[in-house]
Amino acid sequence: MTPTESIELDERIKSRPSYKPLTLLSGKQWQIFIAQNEDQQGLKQMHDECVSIADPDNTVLWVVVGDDQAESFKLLEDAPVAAAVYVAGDEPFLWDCRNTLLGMDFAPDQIQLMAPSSHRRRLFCTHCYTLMEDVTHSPHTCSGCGEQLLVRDHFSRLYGAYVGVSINAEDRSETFEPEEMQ
Amino acid sequence: MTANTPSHHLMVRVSDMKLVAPTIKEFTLVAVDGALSPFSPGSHVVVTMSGTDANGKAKKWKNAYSLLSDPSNTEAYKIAVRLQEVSRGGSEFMHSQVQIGDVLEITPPANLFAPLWRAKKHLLIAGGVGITPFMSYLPEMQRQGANFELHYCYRGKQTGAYADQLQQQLGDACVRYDADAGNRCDLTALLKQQPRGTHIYICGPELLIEGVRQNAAQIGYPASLIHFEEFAAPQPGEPFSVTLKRSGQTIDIGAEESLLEALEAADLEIPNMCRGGVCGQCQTKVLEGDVEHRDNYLGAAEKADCIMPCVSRAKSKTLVLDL
Amino acid sequence: MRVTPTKLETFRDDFTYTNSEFAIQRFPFPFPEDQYNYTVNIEPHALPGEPDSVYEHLFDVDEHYLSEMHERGLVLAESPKRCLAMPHMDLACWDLIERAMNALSADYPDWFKLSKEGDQWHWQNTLLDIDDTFTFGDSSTLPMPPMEYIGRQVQGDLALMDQRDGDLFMDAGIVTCPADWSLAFDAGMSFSEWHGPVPMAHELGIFERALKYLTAMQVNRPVRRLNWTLTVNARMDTSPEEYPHWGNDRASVTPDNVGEKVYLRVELQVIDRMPRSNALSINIRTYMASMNDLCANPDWARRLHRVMKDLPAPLIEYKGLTRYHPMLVEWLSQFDREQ
Repeated sequence: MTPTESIELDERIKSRPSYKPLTLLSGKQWQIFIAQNEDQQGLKQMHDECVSIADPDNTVLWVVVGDDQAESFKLLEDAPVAAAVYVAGDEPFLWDCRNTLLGMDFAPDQIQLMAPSSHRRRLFCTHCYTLMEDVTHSPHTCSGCGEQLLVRDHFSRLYGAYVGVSINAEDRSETFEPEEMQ
Repeated sequence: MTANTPSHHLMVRVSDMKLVAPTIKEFTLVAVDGALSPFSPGSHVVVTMSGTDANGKAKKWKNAYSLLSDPSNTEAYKIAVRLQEVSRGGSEFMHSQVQIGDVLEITPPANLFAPLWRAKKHLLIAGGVGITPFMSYLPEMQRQGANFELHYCYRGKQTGAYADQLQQQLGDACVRYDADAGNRCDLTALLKQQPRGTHIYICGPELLIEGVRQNAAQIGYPASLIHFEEFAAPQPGEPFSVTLKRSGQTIDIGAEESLLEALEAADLEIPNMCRGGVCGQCQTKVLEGDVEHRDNYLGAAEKADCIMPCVSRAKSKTLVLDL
Repeated sequence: MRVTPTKLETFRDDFTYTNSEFAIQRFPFPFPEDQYNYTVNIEPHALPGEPDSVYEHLFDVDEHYLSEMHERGLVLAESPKRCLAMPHMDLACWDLIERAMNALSADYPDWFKLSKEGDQWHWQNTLLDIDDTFTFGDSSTLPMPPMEYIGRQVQGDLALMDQRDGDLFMDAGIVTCPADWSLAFDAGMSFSEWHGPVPMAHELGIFERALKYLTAMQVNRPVRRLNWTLTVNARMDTSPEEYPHWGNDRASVTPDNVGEKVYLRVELQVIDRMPRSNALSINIRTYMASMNDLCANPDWARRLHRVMKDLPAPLIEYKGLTRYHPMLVEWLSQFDREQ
């Protein structure tokens, strides 16, 4: 069998996360909503719904993570094992929160991430390991080593970042017009 | 891909045997030649027993048993076998036929129940002979200075192997519940007092596993923190027959034997590890017939055209298998 | 037969790497058929393999040992993050030390010696002039972290995959001669995540089957597979990290220099269950031979032509061959007149 003849090729890189709609979990002692800023309307709606149906002895928390991230997460230190966390914001924020929560011994299935609120990406330069924020176009010039980086869909949950690889290392005379990414 | 190659086997000699509870016998196994490999905590081996059935016919049993010795000990492996009230022959054979000096065939250790070393705390819940995998957890957890607690439920008149010894070694980290003395474990209270991120491991009868899982679900304990091992011994059922598509062969499966055992008796090599419906290795395609699924492995979609021959049987009189 | 490795060759700058007649004879030529089929070509690594072949031992030590260990030292000096081990992988690293030292000392007794007095181990590597005693399992008794310690004494890249929840995670490794993948970026990824960029194989269900196979692997039953790509110049470190420094090698291929510039790069991947930790180790051992050396064998030359000619486009792209693939096929065609 020649593979190309018999299969549908899916161009998507499989490490790129896919986000499902959030589900409000019942029976949790604490319901925790973490927003990057006040703009997270979808999450706010869900929070309000949760407040309206929650048991009086349950805790429903609305946390807007300000500049002082550490301070915000202190609020969660006493959360019991029966807690659910819902997070909304841009993609790097989502994965930073998830990593912080995992470090605080929350379990992966306690944490739900809402589809990112923007297309801005964090970029990991594979040549010098510099992390760059708010990347919208590819190629992107690395702030560390100056390479023109092709932004790939290969994604690391640990870094919350996509990988960037030199786009013209093979022929330095080639130039590319930056294109906006989805 | 080459099909999974058949497991290689180790020959071991029974160097010691003793009752460690009224219904539980411990076997010490040493290599016939060469050395044994260290193993990871929670590993099991499959023991092949060659004996005769009630009618005097030659029969092979293969049962999975957890290793309970210190995983770094390469001098000897230990297993413990509970005499089942309704034995399909295996535990009966181990208890009454095996003598010191006998040679047994075992698979190398395989692990479907390894501790997660990243956990900040481990809560071990054992029921009866389900203490065995934890016996291999404990030495490594102590070596690593891990935070753990053992909660051990048993019936002192039947089980409760190693209970005194564990209490002595572990002190407060071991809590015992002898149902025959009226002590029971309050699972809800136990689960509720765990710090966030505590991984729970359960080994014991289905009732205990279900009990923990239901309590956990009720109080909202994350399912990903709950691990259990249950080697469901294949349960008997109605006799049926299978036809093998590729060879055209027809094989009859008796009420007391599993489909996997019947296939093996017909000299087919079916990859397998747990023989209890969890590891997924023996998954086999079904071309015709209805299956009575008894495994914990297949997803809903796969159930439409697959069977786990280690535990599952036919609903219809016959099945056609893609073998 | 194997001779004591003595030569010190380079895999960069002046590229003095060469293969002896013996090395070419035992080269693991990866194409069993005229057409390249994408399959999970995993097979048991039954030991001992054929004498003198690359399959003879668990770890193949060959004439390039000193050169490759020197090259690894150069890469680590420039880029220490090519070696990493997450804290929960400590036991797995010791598993690997135990497997490697037991195997090396048994397979090459003239070069490696191991003696044990309980937990006190004495290790001698006469090729690298190493003579250490340490306490097995106690990382503080080694001169460097355990992953780096063993990685500096074994040819080929190493990775340790933690097994949990029925999946495998890239949680430790030492990777200085990769075929274009980055351990630093792939750290902590699950099996399907770190294979994310590989084309076609996901759709063919290859990773699903491979994962099921790998998670069920038993102790003392290593398996192997061959993987291949092409490299311009005998460069070991074709990492994404260094791509800005080797990418333009690909533009240096001309019809006249194909034979000496283009190397077939074959990875012998040996995967092994770690007994104490239940992790899986993978040793990705790289062999390189120039087109000139390979095509001295008419069967290999003909087959190389047929395989390269019919390579599916997504693979040409993924393996980075786009720029010189047509030139290579044209050059190889001289060996395949009866096509």
